[in-house]
Formats: sequence, C-alpha cells, structure tokens
Amino acid sequence: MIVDLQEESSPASYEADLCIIGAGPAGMAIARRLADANFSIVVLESGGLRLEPGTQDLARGETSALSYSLEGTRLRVFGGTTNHWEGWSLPLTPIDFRKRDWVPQSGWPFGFEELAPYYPSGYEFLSLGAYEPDAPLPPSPCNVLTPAGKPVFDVFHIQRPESPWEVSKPWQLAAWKQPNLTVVLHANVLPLKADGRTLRDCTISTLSGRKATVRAKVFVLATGGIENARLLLASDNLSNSRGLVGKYFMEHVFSPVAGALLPVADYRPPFEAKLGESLYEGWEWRFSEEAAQELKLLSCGVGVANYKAPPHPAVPGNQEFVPILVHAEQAPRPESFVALGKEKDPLGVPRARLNWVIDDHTQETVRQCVMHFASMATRAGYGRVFIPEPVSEVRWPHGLWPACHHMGTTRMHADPAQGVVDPDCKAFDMDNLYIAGGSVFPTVGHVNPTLNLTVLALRLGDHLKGVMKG
Amino acid sequence: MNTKFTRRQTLTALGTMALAAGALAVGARRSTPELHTKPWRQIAMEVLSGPPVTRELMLAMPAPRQPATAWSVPAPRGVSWSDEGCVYEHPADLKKAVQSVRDRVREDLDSGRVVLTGGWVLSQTEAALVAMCVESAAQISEGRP
Repeated sequence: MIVDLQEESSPASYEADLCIIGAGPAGMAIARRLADANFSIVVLESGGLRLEPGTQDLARGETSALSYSLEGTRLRVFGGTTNHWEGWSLPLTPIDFRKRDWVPQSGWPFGFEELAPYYPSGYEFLSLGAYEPDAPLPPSPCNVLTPAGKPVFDVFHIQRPESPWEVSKPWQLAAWKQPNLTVVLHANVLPLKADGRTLRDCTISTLSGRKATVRAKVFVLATGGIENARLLLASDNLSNSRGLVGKYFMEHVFSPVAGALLPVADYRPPFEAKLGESLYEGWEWRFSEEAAQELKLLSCGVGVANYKAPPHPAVPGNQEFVPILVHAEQAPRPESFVALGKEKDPLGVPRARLNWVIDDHTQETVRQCVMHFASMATRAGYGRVFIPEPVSEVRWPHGLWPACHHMGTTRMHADPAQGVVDPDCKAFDMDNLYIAGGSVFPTVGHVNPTLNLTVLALRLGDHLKGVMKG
Repeated sequence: MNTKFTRRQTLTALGTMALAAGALAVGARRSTPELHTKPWRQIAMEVLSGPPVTRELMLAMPAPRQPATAWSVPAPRGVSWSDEGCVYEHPADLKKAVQSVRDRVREDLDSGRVVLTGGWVLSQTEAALVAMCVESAAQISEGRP
C-alpha cells in the first residue's frame, strides 16, 4: 500500500514492526526482501512519486572544501537517486574487503564471500539481468607489467539495465501489492529522539506542516550517505558517542578527461576493433590485485569514451581526441566529512555541510592509472596520451567530477571505537537502529555503489528476519 | 738471360698491378669513410608513434617538466651517437640504430617506464629522445654548431 501524508484522509499515526526511513534502493531492497515476512513494515519517503521542487530543495546544503552540489547529486523522491542513475553496476572485488596495509582504515569486517550469495537477487532487484560471475572475459590486451612482472591491468565488464532511471518503477508496483508493506510519501522525518538506547518512534512531517507519528520495534535508516549522517547529527548526535558520524565521507573520483587519447588511426572502426570491439558495451580495465598491492595504490578503473571529443583548449593541436575515463576509489580520511550547516531547511533542520577532501594517495592512484593506461595504449598502437593539467598539475582536482556517490559517513567496523555500525549494520550505540546504504561502506572500491549497497541491504533484510523472530 | 716477357706474363703482371692499385684505392677510402648524420629530430619523427601532426606536437612541447633520462641506448656496431644525431656510414647501420631505439621504447612501455613530459605520456627513452631534440633546437637557435 502507498499512502500520502499530504492527504488529509491519511492516518496521523502508524505502527509497524519495522520502520525503514528512505525509499531508495537500500530501503526498498530490505522491504522487498521481507515481502513474505509475517511482520508489518512501514517505509517513509520524503518525496512523492515524482520529483517536486519544494522537497528537492531539502537536499540543498553547504560546502566547505571542494565544490560539490548536494542538491544536484541526490534526489528526494520515491526510488531516491536511482531516478537519475546511470545504472553502471559491478560487484566489489575481494581485495576491496581486505585490510590493505597501504590504505589506512581499510578492511571490511567480512570478506567478499559474505555478500556473494546476495548478488543474484541484487541483479534481479536492479533489473540487471542474470548475474554471471564466471562469464568468460576477453583476453586482456594489457602488455604492461609491474616491476615484479605482473600485469598492471585486468579487464572487466560493467553492466547496466536498459532504463536505469526507471528501475524503481517495479518497486512501486510491488509496494502497492505487498500486503505487509505501507509506503508513506511526503514523510520527512524530523530529528529523532531516543529513549536511552532505544528508538521508540519518530515524527514525520509534510512541508506544509502536517505531522504524524510512526511507532516501530526496529528502525532502519536508509536515506543515503549525506542524509543518514545529517539526520543522526541533527538528532542530538544520535549514535555518535565516538564522534565518527559524518566522518570518512568518500566519493568516487571520476574524470571524463583524465587524459586525452589522440588516436594513431581513425578512431572507428580500427580503434574499437583493437580494443576488443566492446568498449561501448562496458569493457574496461582496472588495476589487478597484484599491481595494486605491489604499487600500493587504491582501486581504480580506466576506459575510453566511445566517441571523439571536439578540440579542447587543454589538448594540444586543436585535434579531436578520445576522452580517457577514470573511476577511482577515494581513500577514507576523517578530514573528509559531513557536518551540520548554519542554515536550516523549511522544516527547521540544519542543512548538511560537506567538507569533501581528496588526499594525495587518491591523486597518485588516478595519475598512475592514466600513466599505465598510456603505456598500454601506446604499446598497442591505439594512440598517444596527453594528460591535461587537472591530473598532472597542482590544480588538482579541478576538472574532476564527483560521481554522485555518497559513502562512508556511518562506517561499519567490528570495533565500536572505529565504526558507527557493527558488521550487521546495527548502530553500536543503539539497540534497535540499523543503517543501510553506502554510508556504512568502510572503503568503496572503484565500482559504482548502487548494486553493492543493494546486496548489503538484502543481507541486512535477512538479518532483520532473524531479529524480528527473536 | 732472356729479358723479354711473354705476352701472357705481361698481361698477368699488369693485372696484378691493377688489383694492387685497386686495393690501395679501397684501403684509402676505408681510412677516410664518408660519414652521415641523421638528426635527432628525424630519428624522433621515425621512432615516436602517432600521425605526423601528433609527433610534431610532442616535439614542439615546452621544455621537459621532468628531467629526461640520459641517452643510454647502446649504439649498434657501425654507428655512434653525437650531439647532432646518429652518425653512420652505411644506411643499413642506421636502420639497426633506429630499430634499437624502437626496441628500447617498447621495453620501457612493457615495464611501465613512462614519464609525463609537457603533458604527454612518453616512455623514458622517448622522453630522452625528445630532450635531445629540444637540446639540438636550443643549440641551433643559439648559433652553436
């Protein structure tokens, strides 16, 4: 069932076994996972079924370091930010979960094998088609070796649904039909008030001020990497006894012009043929595990666009060129964080303030990725690589774009002193509050997060089944 | 004693003298071989990959931002490297020299030995080669030989 708090006829109070705050991929994955559970679920969504300027304005915020559009990179509407999702999906790799000596604060409390069983369901939930982890990959054309003689790059294939921005439509249909589920639209959650270690209820409000109360036994916060932190901080620092909420904000460092490849021959078809004919379909390269370990780099993927870009002042010779695209892991650093801003939104809640900082290690990873790609491209006769200033000069990171991925602000850890949530995604400081989404990622790999936060949410759904039975 | 040579003897003697003269002439030429110099810039245009316009751009880059490695490609037999370029006598030796540079470039690329030079990603050997060209151009512009 879907109800709208804006409608006067809608209830003024709700009672459920489980309350999920946020109807994005994480929240809805949990709700769908529990479709056959014999307990009631209420999902609270700030927006409606379509994007509305008033609600979207709640996403506006402040920045105090690198420039970042908080309202442009997130959507407050049913389905969340998947409504402008590009859809690129790929599982994290085993090395992303490991503690890497060269990456401070790295290491998940479990390995890839813990999430592996959930990927088939994640693919289905996100309309990605079949999950085929053992599908053959083309031989990598990588002839570039590390000093120890290991291939620098692996080839990989990244998938996307046909209409990624419509991926939440089936969730909407399912929500109407799911007997144990009520989705409440225009339900903005006001700052939470806990009773000791227990959250008993929360207050929701429309922008026009119509309020209701939601009581539940268990709460899940699933509003995204910025908003999860903002709500906890605005809730009198809920679950923040260690001061970690909001810290370790991570993005994927993305650049559409990390380098310019000036083709040796005409770009198409000889160029595409040389690269395996399938770049357009999502074939790319990334640092092999051996290379990342030996070179002490973060995770980073690299590919080329399937088009020639028009001449650009940063690229010499007034020539057309093929953009080189990188997608790099950002190292977790406490000085990159989400805090509360000075301005308040129309509901009286302080807006988010983002202090996005990229460290030298991340910068060096991007630089080396492009340099090694250039070796490979030159060696294979694809073309010559020119790196514009943003990557090569101190002006970094001008020209680099955020990938609209908000992660790390309520990080997961086995040690309460080093994380906000435990390996089951339960807030350390609370008995009945769980957090879902990319905000719990301790490290983020180079791959897009939606699939991975979805499978983590599905895992949480299974855990909640056991919790609710108990 | 009969001092007259037979016709056959005379022809043989003349032939021997001619051969000796020829050998002397060859020897003389070998002692002062005609050497040629292939300028660094032309070597670079042959070795750098990419269409001519791209190669010209790489050679027209501003002074290298990272120090280029010293020119360390061994000279094959029959050639030597000079400030001006590759000094050779026979074209076949020049070919061998250019190929040795190409091989070194490929080894660099396979091992990821690349440097950023004026925004271009070049193998260390390419960067050194370009630096030699830049150096040559500077010398020419300063009126030095």
